[in-house]
Amino acid sequence: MTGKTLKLWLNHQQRALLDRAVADGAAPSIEALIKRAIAESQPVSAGQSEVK
Amino acid sequence: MSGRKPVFEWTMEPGTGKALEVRRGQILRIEQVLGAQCVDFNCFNLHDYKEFMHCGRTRTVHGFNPGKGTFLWSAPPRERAMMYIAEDTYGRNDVLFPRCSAYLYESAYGFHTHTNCHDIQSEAQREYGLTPDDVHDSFNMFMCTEVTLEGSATITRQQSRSGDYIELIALMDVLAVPNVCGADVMRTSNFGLKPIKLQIFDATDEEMAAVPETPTLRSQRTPKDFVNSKIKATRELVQDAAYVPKFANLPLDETTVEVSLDANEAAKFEALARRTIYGADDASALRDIVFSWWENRYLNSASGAPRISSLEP
Repeated sequence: MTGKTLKLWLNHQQRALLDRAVADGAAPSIEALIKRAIAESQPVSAGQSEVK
Repeated sequence: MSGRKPVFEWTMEPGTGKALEVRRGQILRIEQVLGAQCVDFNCFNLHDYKEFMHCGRTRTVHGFNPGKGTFLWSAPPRERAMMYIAEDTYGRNDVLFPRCSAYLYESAYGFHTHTNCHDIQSEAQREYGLTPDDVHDSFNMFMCTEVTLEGSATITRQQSRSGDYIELIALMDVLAVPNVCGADVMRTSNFGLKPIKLQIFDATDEEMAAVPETPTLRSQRTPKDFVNSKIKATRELVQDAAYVPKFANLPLDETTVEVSLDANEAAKFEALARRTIYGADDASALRDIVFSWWENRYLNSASGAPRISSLEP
């Protein structure tokens, strides 16, 4: 797979929550925070409860 | 605690309830006399009856079976901890089922009049000027319920014994209204109606100190914060011609963040993207990943927020 560029649309409330995480030191920037979220997340495994 | 003296004692006979003023720093003890009796309960802020215990809020924070170490919360926008369950010797309660009502006994059992929690509660709190419309969903003490994997809820028999009790510490002045559940033809109280003993004690400093702190937040609004704080005195609903909407935080302005993923990151994103929900919509899939990560990392159920099952320690 090659790399890709993604766009994240955020309303100002959502943006504020992520900006606060950045300000708290979770990542140096919101872009880095998004990459961290991807890196630290686990795929949903078979049988795990999901909204249907 | 042994040796303490009650400042009030009362026995609720079957078919009755009792409205009790319980001041901040007092303990209401609700005790089985013979055992196996469900007690329906709600409470009001003694100084503002519009603030009352809200089963939905309590259920959201503590689950279907609140017990020792949990709080009874008031409804939004107050959302305050009204009482604290300091002791619960049986350990089975319910905030899933509504109070039983006259309609239930007529529709299902053919009774035109039958003891029922709504009417008992209503009659008990009439002593303080409240109406049948002021009865709210009940905290059902000693009531055993189950939820199936298919999502239906059932009531089961209970095994509380004589002497089992629940102690509630008042965190504000409340009007507490317990009643002996009127369900004698169902398994809620094992097909019977039995008396319940009530006592009020003054809490010790140690007992008050053992209550966990709950946050005081700006969002916990009281009538002084309401745009309209007047209690409506008429039954008819009439449009306010001068009404201008004042919804909070509008407009919801959007911003866009672009992020470039290398091949490994793109592959991980693809593995995480919930395609069955979001299809080819990468933006929505990414937003889900980011906020799910945030929930797992930051959401604190101790603050009164909903508990997230996958919350990491």
